[in-house]
Amino acid sequence: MKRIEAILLPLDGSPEAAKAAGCALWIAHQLGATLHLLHVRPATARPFSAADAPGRLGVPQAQAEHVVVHEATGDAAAAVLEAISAHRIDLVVMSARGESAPFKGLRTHRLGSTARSIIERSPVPAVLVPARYRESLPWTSMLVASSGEAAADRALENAVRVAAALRLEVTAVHCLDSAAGAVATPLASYADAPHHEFAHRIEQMMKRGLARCSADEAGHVCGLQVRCGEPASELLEHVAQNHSSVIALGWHGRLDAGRAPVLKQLLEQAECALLVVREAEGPRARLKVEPEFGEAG
Amino acid sequence: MGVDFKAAIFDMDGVVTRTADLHAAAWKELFDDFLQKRAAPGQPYQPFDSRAEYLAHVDGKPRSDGVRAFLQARGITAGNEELEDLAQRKDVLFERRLHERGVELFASTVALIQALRIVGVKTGVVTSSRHGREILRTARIETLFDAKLDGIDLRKLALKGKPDPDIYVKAAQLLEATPGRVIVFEDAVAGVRAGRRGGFGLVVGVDRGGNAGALASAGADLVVHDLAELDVERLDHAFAARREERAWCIEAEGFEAARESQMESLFAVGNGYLGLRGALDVPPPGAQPDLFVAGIFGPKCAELPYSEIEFLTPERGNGRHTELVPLPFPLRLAISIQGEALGFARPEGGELRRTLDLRSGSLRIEATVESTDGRRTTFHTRRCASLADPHLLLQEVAVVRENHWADVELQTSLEEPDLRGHHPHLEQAEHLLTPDLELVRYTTRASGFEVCIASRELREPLRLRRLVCIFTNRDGQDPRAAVLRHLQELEGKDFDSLFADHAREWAGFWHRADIRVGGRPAVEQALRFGSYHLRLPAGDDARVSVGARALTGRAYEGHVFWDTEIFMLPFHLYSDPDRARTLLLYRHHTLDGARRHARGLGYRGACFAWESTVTGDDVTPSKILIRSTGKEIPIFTGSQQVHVTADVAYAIWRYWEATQDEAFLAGPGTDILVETARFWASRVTPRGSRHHILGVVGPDEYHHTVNDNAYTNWMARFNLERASWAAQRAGVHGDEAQEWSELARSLYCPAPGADGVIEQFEGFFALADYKLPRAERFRAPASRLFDWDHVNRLKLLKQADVLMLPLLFPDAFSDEVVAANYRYYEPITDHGSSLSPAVHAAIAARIGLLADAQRYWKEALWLDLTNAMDNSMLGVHLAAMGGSWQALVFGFLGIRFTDAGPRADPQAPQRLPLGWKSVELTLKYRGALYEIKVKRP
Repeated sequence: MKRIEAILLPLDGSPEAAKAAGCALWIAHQLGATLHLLHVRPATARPFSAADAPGRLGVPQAQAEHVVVHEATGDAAAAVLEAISAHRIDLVVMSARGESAPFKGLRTHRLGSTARSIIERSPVPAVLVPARYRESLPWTSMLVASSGEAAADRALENAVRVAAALRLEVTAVHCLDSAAGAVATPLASYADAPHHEFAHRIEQMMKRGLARCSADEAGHVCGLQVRCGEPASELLEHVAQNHSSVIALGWHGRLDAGRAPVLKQLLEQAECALLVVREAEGPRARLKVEPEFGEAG
Repeated sequence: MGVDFKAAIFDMDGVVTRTADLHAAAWKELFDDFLQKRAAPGQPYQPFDSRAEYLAHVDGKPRSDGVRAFLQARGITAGNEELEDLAQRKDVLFERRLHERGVELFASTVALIQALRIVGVKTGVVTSSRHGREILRTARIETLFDAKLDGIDLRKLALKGKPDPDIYVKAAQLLEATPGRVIVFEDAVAGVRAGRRGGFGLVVGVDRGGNAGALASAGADLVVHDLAELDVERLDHAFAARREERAWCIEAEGFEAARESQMESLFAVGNGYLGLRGALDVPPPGAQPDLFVAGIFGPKCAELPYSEIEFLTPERGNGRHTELVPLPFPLRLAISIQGEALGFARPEGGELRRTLDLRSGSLRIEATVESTDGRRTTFHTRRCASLADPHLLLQEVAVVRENHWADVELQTSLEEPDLRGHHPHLEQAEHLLTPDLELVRYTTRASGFEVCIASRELREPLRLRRLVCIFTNRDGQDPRAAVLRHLQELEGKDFDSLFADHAREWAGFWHRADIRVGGRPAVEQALRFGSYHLRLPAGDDARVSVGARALTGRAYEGHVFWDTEIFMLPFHLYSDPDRARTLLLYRHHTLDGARRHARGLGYRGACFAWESTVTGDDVTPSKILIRSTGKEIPIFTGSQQVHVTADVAYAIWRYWEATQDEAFLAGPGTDILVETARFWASRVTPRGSRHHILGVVGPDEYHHTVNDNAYTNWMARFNLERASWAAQRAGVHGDEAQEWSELARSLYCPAPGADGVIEQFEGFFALADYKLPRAERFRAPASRLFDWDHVNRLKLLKQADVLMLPLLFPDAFSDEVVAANYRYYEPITDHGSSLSPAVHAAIAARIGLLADAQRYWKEALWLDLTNAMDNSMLGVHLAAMGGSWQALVFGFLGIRFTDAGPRADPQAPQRLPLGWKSVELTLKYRGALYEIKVKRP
């Protein structure tokens, strides 16, 4: 993952969408990155002029030097994905909801359909500003949810890179889900003798996630906590206790029923920003043992 | 006549139909036309080579892939539209020729297909050509196939083209056969690769002209010029032979960062002196390519970046020999082509195959790497830790340039880039680099070890061979001189013959230890994998034993547990008793440490530490501290799990029983028996007329501070009896021997109750019930650790406790009693220990609960290969491997030792698991070798 040089802030003109602006401007400023505003409007509406656009989109007048405004019509998610590719975007910052926000009761109340579509397909990480977001800049610390699964590895790597660039302290949290029968997180699934395995497994987990980070970047990780309980609640409790500025987590990219429960709960309840990193579809390794031999039993 | 394979899938073009010429001609017309148009007027262009370039870039691939590959090879860029145009035009040209000339068939192929169908083999045909169905129809051979897939299907089903295995895997699905039971016939390299990748049982390469070498290289098991060379019988033999071969290898394809650590553990090599994880020669980021040398320990290092970031064991820092020291990777390789550094495992993928050749104890790696400018290079590496020469590691790297002539630079280095960060135990004392050799010398802080590694290279164009020698100051006073002398001695020796010497030692081992399971090569493979890993750390040095994860991983820090004597030792005892003797001599070597431990606990004699390393002093921690919350979790095993003392005594007697080694018994054996008996004599507490053992932890670690643990007491009683017997035999310690006999008689050993059940410890029956949910079996949740106090009061077991007794004393209990205890304890065991499943398999097999036995057997046998406990990344589970061996030998086969040698239980043939036709193995007993063969009726 290279330096973050281009950030995309999609806006649809609604005040809800503009909630992400402060955060986007701050990040861009800290990183010296170009901020691309993408205004997606219905085909019938007229584009804003370049000078007017920031104000009319709800972005504060204090413009960062490197703000570029783009206009697009049509399907918003498609336009955003196209823009990510066209402008070589490294990070998307957006509100979890847009103009559909005021209509509570819809399934979109925590994540709008556009935002959903974008994070399901975006090749780059996204900072989501959730429904209950309360702006608190500058950011000082980041909480990374480390489940030990492959998706979490990638999230850890990306999160630490971002955190290092923003000079944030990183704490990783590993939740041991105490509910039996729930999806066992890798660290919890087994330990012959805990004092001989837990420490090593944590070490392996961290090492894997940080393998491609520089020593300096990895140095921003100042701690790890193991908590027992339901992951989303534990993460939120940690945020409340420690005033974390942002929660980073990895996910598999599917939001249908029963999937991504932690992300859904955070979207609903978190008051801080969420950095979501989708698991890349990587190559798989195959060990050719039973049942590859094709025998019964 | 039945055959072992279920289906055969044929590639169409070039194997069944003679359309390759038509295709090649169409391609030539297409490309020549294209190239001519692009060439500057009057300039000559290089025409399409319808032999070489057809084979290399186009053959076997979907059209657009072929176009793209050819253009790329020629360095021509073209837009997607242009590519599509070309692909479509080729179609038109091909169709024209097809209609003009019709379809020719290979008669020999058709004959083979018909012969296969007669014996009931299903047949399929695949092609990436969109004309597939048309061709089959025109040639009137549609009815020859049960499944047909062509280019149109490829697109409709969104299957990737060869060398991706999709199309073959789909065809196998349609034929209702698993790939392992299917034969693939291919004439193109891309197709052969697809067959390999799909895990097909046999891949037959058909060489239609000059392709034989490439087909074999790509992985064809058999290469013929025409299918007339094969008949059904020959195919069946080849299929069986290939399955037999596969059962001698563990193969992994592809790279996955999240699983790499697991692979490194599984693919470790070693020779008793050292162990080397199966890391890639070019270690990717995040690799843990550790080298371990037996006996090289150091103090606990909490300085690794994330070690103890949350779980602390505070008092471990004191001992000098608390953890096995991970040493730097001595086979490190760096590759670059034209200045671009390359790795074996690009995140974008690239072909990687790792093969652990169990038969010869060596690791082969094949990695095909593509640089950014499209140059493809394949690296074939092999390595071994010589079993013929414990101080020697061999490495070979061969380079094959697939499509270029650029220079490939191979750089080797013994130096670790970040020694301080990755190996905080070590200080580099010296690094020497001359044209002839490289040498590096390390010392361990605080524990005073010196490790010297030297390497000599033999370089040829496109091939590198390395001899790496290792010596430490445990081997002698001057390891530096030793390592240089050793390299000197090896000078002039043929590299291949060094490998051969090593392979010969392994052949000798397999001659004694191999187990053949008729009809189940997958089981053979898993058993061999277990035997291989059991052999790895069992050396000739009586100052070291074998840790729970051997020399394959950092977890357990190289600590020795009861795992060695009770779970691993029997395997060695009945295949190569000298290894068992060496393991027991370790306990004699550490007797002083055991004496100190006993005194530390307030007792006499010798009490072996629950966890021990170099000196036998106890290295078990007493608590875990959770850094973020400050919570403390106590660990009781160090002070209370005393049964290990009796376990060692048991192993001593077992060894003598199987070997009649009187010298050993008279010397070290009696020493240990006597001292351990003294410990028990002081450890017991009188209560009324009986004696009791209070405040212990039995094998089941969920309960601590219990009284009269059945297992502990039975083993202690046996220990006292044997000590008395040995002392009387030797004519020593007469009074004490008398005391021990009496104590053995008065020691309270929980006996079967009216219902046959033995109470695990005093008050167990009165504990609170716990309904063990299915999800928690084999997946003990973390709450077991955090709620240790609560768990202590529940009827819940971590592993076999009472059930250990019928395994170790099979004749002491009737089948009814064993069954009663199994029925009582098995449902409340969550197998939170890898030691447990194998024991349950053995007991269930004995009492005829065959479904249970099979289920537990599967769990134990494939524990590391399926990463069942999700911690194989930290090292392989040797106790589970030894336990699986015992489950087979003493469980399913019910082997008992008589004066006439080992005998299988008369019921054994009926107890064989599903699909097993027979079991054959060799057991050594009292100096003689016995062949055991059990066949299903």
